[in-house]
Amino acid sequence: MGIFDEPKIAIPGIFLIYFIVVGALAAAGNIGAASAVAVFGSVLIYVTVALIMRSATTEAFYVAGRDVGAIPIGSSIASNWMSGASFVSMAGAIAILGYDGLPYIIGWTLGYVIAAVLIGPFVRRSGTYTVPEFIETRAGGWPVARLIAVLMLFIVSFTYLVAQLVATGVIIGRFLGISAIIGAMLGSLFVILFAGTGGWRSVVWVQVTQYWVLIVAYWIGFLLAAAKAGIFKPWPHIGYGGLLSQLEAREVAFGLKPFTEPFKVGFAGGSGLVNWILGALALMLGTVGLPHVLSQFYLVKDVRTARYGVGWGLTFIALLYLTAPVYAILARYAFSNVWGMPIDQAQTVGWIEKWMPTGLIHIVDKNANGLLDPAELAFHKDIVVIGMPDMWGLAWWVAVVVAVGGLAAALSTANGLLMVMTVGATRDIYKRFINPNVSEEREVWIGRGMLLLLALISAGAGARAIQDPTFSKYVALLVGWAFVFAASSFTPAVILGIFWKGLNRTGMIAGMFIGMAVALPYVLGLGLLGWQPVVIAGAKIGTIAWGVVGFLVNLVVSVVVSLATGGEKANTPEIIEFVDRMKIPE
Amino acid sequence: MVEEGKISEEQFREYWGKMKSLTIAILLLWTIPAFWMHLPVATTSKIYILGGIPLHWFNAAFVAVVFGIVLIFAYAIVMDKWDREILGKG
Repeated sequence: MGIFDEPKIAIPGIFLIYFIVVGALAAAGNIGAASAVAVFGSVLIYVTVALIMRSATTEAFYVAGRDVGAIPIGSSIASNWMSGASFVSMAGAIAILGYDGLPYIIGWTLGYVIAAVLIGPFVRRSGTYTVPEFIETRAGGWPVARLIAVLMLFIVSFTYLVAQLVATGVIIGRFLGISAIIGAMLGSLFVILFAGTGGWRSVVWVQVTQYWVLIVAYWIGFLLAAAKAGIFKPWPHIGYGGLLSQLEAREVAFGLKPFTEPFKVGFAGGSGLVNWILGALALMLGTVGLPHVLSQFYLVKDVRTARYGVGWGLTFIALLYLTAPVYAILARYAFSNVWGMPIDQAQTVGWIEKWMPTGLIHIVDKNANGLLDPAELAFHKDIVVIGMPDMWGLAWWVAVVVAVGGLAAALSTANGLLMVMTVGATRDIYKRFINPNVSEEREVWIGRGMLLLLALISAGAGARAIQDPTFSKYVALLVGWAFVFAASSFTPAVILGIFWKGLNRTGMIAGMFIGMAVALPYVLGLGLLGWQPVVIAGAKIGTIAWGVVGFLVNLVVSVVVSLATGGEKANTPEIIEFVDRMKIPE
Repeated sequence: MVEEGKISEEQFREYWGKMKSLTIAILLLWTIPAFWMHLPVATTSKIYILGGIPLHWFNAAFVAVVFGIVLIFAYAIVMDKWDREILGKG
């Protein structure tokens, strides 16, 4: 046993070396080398953590040995959950949408309350290894149920993963000045290194490390910009009022509706309060049905840890999500500084000059009056976090810190998604249907092979998404809709499966199918074919809000079909015992 | 159905009954941050607090998320206590 076998010593030790090396390079004045070492060194840290935590048992590979504690699983849940999009784009979405972007904040957090009381502890207690295995067991060992579950798991996780690789590619590419496609390839190579070493056991500890890297990076950029803007009165989250009033006054002066005005933009193709509320609800219901979220509950020590772990998870998520709106205000205020400036002069402002070539900022003098009107400064939502250090004139290293954090966020979610698919391919397909008698050692190697294969396929798809704007548009839409599909399929099946003995396999499968059949045409029709949205109480119902409808239809169909096909009587004593056992304290 | 030697059928029924009530209570409370507190947005949006922050903007989201965190920990603490009681761990 060397000291590096103890992660509590090893991980801080590695960080110490990292800071010393980067600091020494920076002190020596070699900024380029310091930046490169900072970014690649962070990846090296994750690889080292993965190696320290490696293990070759199937239990470690599939469920991290089921020995993760509450605070580590909380940080792992948070980094698994918060992707490159949360880190890089969420503040930007709010800067663009204002009040109408808030369903993202509420919807992507409060689902964890449902997970804590209706799902997490019971999934942990069920004794199954994967979500498809849970569904199959609940359906009385019916293989069809498992196959359907694996198929849906793949659809949801794959599109999500492709989007993560795109984000990784863009971050690496933008930072190192290489092509985003090579960046995406590198990203998937890194993930293979973390996950291949020890499966979930390595991934979960790499995710814990990545959480702390990403949150520290996010907060460093935020606190420094907040200090420059003078909103420490006494703390940025409550001291931004004055800045916001000034911003709103400028918006009104330029003839805009204030940033804080509700329902001026709409949410996901809908409009009004009903759409706003249903959109948030659909994101909550979808959250708890996403396979990479559900799978985290399998990794914890016991039921007690599952309950507390969700609480820590949401706390850690909130540290980023509740900071994003203040980021948005800081960025929007910086934009408003250049409104009304002569165009020639605006183009020479430091951050505009720097970010114009990347295409994240556009300036066009639409009305040819020589002055920059608000509508003539278009910005991509990613600029809000990535460009913050430049907008507020922060030191050079802040941009490096933000890049390291964004990379950690994108990689941590990619890790989790790839592991969910790998376990699905290995345990739910290979071991269940192809070779049930596989030896433990061989099973882990098959898992590594599957991982490699899946990583290569998704890297290819990621590269394609970067090259082809149409493909990438579909990927982005599908990620948003993954929540609609999860809410319309897995969420009701899992909740009813735990709480209602009357749910039988006919009802479960009918509910999942009809739920999807209701959800899919609406989101595709509205999102791609230009259908008109349904209007409820004067509000147009957008694609995401429709997830609530899919959820309710699934729920009603599951109940009605189960009752019509014998209800509880159609379930075997094994199923009844399985349902009861999940609630017994251990 | 109950595992041997741990708890009796009767104890489990009582435990499950309490747990169901708690779950329903938490879910009803969850509807407040998830749903009810955002409805009066039109009437609260003109109220300014803490030096100029409109009450509807992001404060509603902030309070909602913190509310959610409190609910999860409250559930965990109560369930943990009941688990210890029923298993005789003091």
